[in-house]
Amino acid sequence: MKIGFGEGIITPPGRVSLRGQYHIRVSETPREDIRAIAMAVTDGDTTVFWVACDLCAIDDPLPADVYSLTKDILPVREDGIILSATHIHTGPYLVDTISGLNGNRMIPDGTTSADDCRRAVAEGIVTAMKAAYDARRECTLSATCARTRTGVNRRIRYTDNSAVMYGSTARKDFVGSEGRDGGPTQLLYVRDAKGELYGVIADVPCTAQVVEGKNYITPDYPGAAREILARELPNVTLMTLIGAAGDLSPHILIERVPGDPNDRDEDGREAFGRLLAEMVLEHRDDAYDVCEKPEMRYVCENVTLPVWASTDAEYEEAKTWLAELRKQYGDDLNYEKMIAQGFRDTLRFSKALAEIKRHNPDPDVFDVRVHVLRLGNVAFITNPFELYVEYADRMKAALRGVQVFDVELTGHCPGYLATVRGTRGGGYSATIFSGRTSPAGGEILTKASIQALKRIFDR
Amino acid sequence: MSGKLLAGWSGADITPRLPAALLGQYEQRIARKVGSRLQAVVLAVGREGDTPVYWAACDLLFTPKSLKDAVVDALKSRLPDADAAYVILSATHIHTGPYMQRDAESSLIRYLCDDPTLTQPEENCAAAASAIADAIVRAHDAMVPSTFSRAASPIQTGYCRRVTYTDGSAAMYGRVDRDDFKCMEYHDGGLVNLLYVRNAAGKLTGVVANVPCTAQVVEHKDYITSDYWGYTRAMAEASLGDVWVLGVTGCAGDLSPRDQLTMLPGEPDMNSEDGARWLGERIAREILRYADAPMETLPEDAAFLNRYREVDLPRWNPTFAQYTAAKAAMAGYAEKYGTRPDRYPFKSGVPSFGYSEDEVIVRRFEDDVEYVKAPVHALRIGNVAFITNPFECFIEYADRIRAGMPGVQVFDVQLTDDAMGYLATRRAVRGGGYSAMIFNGQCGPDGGDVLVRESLELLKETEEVR
Repeated sequence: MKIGFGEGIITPPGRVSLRGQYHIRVSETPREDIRAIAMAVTDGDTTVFWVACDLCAIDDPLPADVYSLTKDILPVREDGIILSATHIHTGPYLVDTISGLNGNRMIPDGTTSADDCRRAVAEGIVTAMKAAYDARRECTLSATCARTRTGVNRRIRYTDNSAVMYGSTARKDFVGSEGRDGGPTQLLYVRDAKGELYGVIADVPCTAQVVEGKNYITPDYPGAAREILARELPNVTLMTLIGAAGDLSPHILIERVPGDPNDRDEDGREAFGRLLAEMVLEHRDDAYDVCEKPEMRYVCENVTLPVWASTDAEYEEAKTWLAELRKQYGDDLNYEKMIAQGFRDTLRFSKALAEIKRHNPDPDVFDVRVHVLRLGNVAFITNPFELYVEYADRMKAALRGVQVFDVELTGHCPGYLATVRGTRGGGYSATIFSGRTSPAGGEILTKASIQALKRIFDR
Repeated sequence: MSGKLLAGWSGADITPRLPAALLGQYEQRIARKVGSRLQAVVLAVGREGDTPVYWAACDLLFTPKSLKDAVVDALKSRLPDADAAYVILSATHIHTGPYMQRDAESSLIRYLCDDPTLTQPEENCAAAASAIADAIVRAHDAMVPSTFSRAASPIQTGYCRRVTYTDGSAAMYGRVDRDDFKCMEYHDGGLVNLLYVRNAAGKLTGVVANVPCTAQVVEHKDYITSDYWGYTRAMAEASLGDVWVLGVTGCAGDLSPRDQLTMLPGEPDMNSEDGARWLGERIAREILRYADAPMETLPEDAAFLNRYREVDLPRWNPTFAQYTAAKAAMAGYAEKYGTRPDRYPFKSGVPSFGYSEDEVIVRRFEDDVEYVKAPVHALRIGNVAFITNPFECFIEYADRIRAGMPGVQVFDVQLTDDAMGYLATRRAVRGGGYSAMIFNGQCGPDGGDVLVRESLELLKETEEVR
């Protein structure tokens, strides 16, 4: 088995509208380039390319674009390219229409078009893939995890059983967080035949959104970690993947300590990057050998999930409520104008629009891709969602003795995938408009993922 | 603001005479050897001219009220101001130390220390109280002008140990590879809080380490050991010289040192000495890491205030329906196995936790007690606040206290000044299982709500004088 790593810059040219919030932010000049970090793994005749991209999400048709650009120059197969996003909120839109809170166009005139942004991203990804392919070499693998807190639960629970993302903990009715924080960070070290470390894969249960409110391009904390490691280990590539973290974030809500770096600003980004770099450095010599002679197995499966449909009652209620709104704000329900007139019930508005749209949806199912990559005795499993951590816990727990790297936001993103507990609490990330499938889909995804993992380990 | 801030340190050996029954499990374990000796580390801290606070962190499962009373009594002639409000006894929750008192609500453990060839709880308690009181006096005498600096480490120590299933049930240490595994009940332990104490010359004299993880790595062993804290203290001392470590445990009723979700090759068995060493030295390394790079050194005129209250909490009492069912069950046990619960076949015929639940339900219904007193200390040094409770307190309650004190680094310390059992949350009680049953604790979630409210009130009192 051979593994190589490569990098490519994916910063689009010009003024760029930034994806990640529900208001328009434009980056005049990048603060730091965003990158694609690629890994090429070859065993026998099969090569798999995995690319971690400093992007908010992967949107179709980016994967098709990348395949189209590489199929004649690299030994790729269409389902052998895995694209993951680190979930920065300070990178470009890749498509023009985003079904978000309001459905409005988020790319203002005078900024680089989504097509041009996507083209720049695709070209950077191809550069990274080619470099990774050319850099492949015989390798050994060792793995471990860093037991340091990264992502924390961002859904706050109250005595009325509701939950709010980034809810106030100062409220009298605060109960606690909804669920778990992120667990350990999974680490895989790749060394050449001489034992020289040349690549590290870090699977961090925390999205890269420390500076999510800024109006400049930046790779967020993975960039800061890369910068620190480049000084300490100049010949080592760090590839940051994001573990399930739909209900997590780097923003500390409960256990704040006075003097902590600002976890929404540059000092917080630097601190988080340093934390990740230190984990990588601390464990490079105590990781366990994945196996004597690592082998690769790879499968890509489609999993069919139900579309989160509204019930008849929800549909009727939404219709009635929107009719009332039309009386007040006009037939077109122009979101910007409504906001200007003092409208604030934005979550309910988005939910109502989704309930109308998703009533008796046709088709009522959709497919997502799950990639399973086994390298020796460790496994990687992907999903395309902002996945609540509970699902990943269940996947990991099902395979005793196997270290499972779960990676979210891989392939075209259908939004959040909340749990039953999450949807009971409601709020952003746990309602019909936040994701294309409901917890019913989460159950199917989890079971299918566990089965795929077991199959790849012949269990 | 009057005089300078003073601090003094001392320690006492509280290892019992052997052989001794070990407290912490529901079967009898007899210690005939010592792995590492048990200590009480004492910090005396206060402002010049005022009565200091004496905080002893003890390598014990619990520090029951009887021990606290004995320590205060032993101090009466030597430090007359050191009453219950100024003496704090916390347990590290080792499961490899002696019994300190005989009475327990549950028959399951009541008889495990009765063997007269073993050191008896009364002897252990008296010896420990005497040693701790002596150490408090020494710490008092060692008080010198000191500065304080604080830090927080993000290392993970304690992990949620309550596993929930799709039928809504929960089990402590339940299997996670069952098909019906749903999720861990709540989050893992958070930060390790650190408070460094230096003398006027700038020499580090000691550190308070508030770790959200009980010292029960080797909880099943049959020898005396201080669990991970012994390794922490040894490494800190080897690296920093003559430095004391006051190890106090953050709320961790639903936590343990074992990560049930992620267990990797190459990592130590967290039921073994290797695990205890690994965790202890990991904590020590964090102490070393921040020793010279704290987040903040508190100003010399930092506010210092101590508040103490015995809070009335509603006891967790059963309903009449629970009582009648339990009474019937107890009658059934008596009919089948006789009237000596110490002879019941708990491993082969009688469900031990079920029996305990029935036994405690009957007793609590019949004794007609509605409230119990929980000792709570709130101690303030600048923007650092300590808040204690006498429970194995589920971490959600600490979250609520911490969230109510923005701008303050809160050291929450459980198992202090009494042994009132687990304090589970509503979510936990719904799921049931050990640690969330009536017999597990004096108080239930209603008591938890009051504890949070009263703790915040006490802390706010210290806020007002900043």
